[in-house]
Amino acid sequence: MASEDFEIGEDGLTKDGYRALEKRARTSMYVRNLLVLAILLASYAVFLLYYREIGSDAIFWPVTLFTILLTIYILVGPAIYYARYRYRIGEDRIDVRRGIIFISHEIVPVERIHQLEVSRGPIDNMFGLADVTITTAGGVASIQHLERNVAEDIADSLNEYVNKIVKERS
Amino acid sequence: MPEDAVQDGTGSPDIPLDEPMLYHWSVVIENTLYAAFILFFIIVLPLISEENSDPRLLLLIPIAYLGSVAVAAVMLYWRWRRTTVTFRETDLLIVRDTVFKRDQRIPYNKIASINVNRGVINRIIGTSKLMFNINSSVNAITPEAAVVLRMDLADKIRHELSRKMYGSNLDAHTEDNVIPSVVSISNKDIVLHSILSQPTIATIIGAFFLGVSIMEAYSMMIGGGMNATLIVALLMFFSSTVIPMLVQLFHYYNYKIYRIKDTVYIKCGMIRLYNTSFKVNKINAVRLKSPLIARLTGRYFLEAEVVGLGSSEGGNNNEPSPLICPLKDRKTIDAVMSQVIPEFVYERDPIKQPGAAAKTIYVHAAMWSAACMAVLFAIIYWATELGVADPGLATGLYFLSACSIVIFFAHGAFSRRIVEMDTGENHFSFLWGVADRVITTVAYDKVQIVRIKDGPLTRPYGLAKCRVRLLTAAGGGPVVSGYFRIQDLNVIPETVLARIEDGRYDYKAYL
Repeated sequence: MASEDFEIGEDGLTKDGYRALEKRARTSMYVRNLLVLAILLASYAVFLLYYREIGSDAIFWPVTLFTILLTIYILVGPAIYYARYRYRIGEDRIDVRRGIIFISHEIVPVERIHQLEVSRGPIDNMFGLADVTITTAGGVASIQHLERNVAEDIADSLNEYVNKIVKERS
Repeated sequence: MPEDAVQDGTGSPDIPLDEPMLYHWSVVIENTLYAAFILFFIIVLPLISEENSDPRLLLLIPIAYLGSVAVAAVMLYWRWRRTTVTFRETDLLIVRDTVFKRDQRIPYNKIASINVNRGVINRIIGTSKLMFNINSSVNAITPEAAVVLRMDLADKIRHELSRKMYGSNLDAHTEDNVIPSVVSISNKDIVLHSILSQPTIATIIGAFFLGVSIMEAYSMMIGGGMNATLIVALLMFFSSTVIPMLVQLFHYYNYKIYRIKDTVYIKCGMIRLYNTSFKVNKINAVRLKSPLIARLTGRYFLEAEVVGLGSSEGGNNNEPSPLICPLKDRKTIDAVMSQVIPEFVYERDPIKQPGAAAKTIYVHAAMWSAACMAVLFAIIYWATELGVADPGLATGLYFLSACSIVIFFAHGAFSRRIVEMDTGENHFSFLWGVADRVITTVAYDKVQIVRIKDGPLTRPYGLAKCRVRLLTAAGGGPVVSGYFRIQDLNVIPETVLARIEDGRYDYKAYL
């Protein structure tokens, strides 16, 4: 996917009609990642205490390198993830583009949806955000970090569509 | 298929409709034996393994064990007495009136398949276990209900329900004796299938441990004494090679397959008998597999991924996909496909991975080689630090790292030329694998989610990989492509959506 695919126009959409997340979604991602970073650094501190006793370089350097790389990923990740997160709710499909190193483009035909769920974790809740989980007969897809009212609207409109299909078929 | 001849078979036999029936009493025996087996590990083993020679304890162990088994037997008997199954006009009703009450209704029109599973106890007593599966994303690999009945009654019920569901008008006797298999499969073929259908990696591991076992046995004969390495090597050989072969042999012995109208019937089994039937419209995908050694002998085998096909209790995640044809030559496989599942036959016009994919493939090979070498050099480093390194070990590990580099790059070079994809009108297919190759043919109408993923190595060339999720099924999983141009991969979701939009996808055809 080319970088222009992610550029947002004046109408708030990409040239393909995709939407971006609100800026507080990025803040929410940072808060979550900082919590993960705190756990990681605490684990590394415990490792250093343990390392003093055994003192083997063969363990120290791989663990240190891994911790540094993970720290960079945790700190830089949200900005890239936010910049590349795009979603589109079409009449026939749900498209989600996301990723940091690998970018995935997920397509779910609306006809295949069985169930919809709006969920909020404690951090997303602090920022008024929510996730929409889309269940099909073959797996689950999700649109994360949406504004709560947007998530509710998406879930309602898709639910309405699913119910309409069920009624037509029963 | 002599369909006309068998369609004139005897009509529906008598089934006690609307009469609540108890399961066959053998359920109590079977479940009690199972409970006794479990209780042995819970009660007896922990106590006898303790270093306690107190005679009172030794007396208490059998008393506690037999008492627990007796309690379990009483509870199972009580559960059996209070569980009934009623075959009604339009649905099946199972009522359990115990501490955990259950009132389960399974409409016949929701049943995807009814399978018969006959274990050793069933065969001794003369009973059958009927497995009812519905189209469910949650329980796709677990039967919704398993009912044990006298064999003749179970056969009658299965055939009567098959008649209602599939329009088949056969009785058990006609079916077993008149309808020939679509393909002639001897038990010699099944033995060959069990041996040659194993993945190449399992065969290599098996051969390695067999070689180690032989060498250790030889050194034991010369030097005398028991050798722990021999036991470990033999165990590894049996678990990696012999047991999977025996499982296949026991499962597919006396194999027979035929199709009546839209229903495929498979019968097989040496000790436990499996009678499996499913509608063709429940097939998600078909896999034509050819492990290396089988392919060198010109043999392939065919499997189907079927929705709602649990043929064993307990929801076995490793349950195999139904075998449509054991190892046979390509001509026979094509003939079986066109007779049993002609819906999945189409003219393929595959495309290979583009030349640009080679760069990505070789970079991956280099990364894997580097990772492998890092691990091997780390082992040498630690072995030197611990003072256990000898020149032989170091040479062996250097040789191993050189081999791994050759293997990764050779695998990359071959995969670049072998992996392909094809998009037809109703189906698409991916060819995957180097040593063991699989062509997966998928019906667009079974696609649930498509994920197209590119990375830093593929993005500059406009390449990506595709991962397709289908309806949940036994032995199923996501179908993954190689590296192809994004516009080629986009054909898959676009076709899925176009078929929904223009009405080529008809949900009624898959009910």
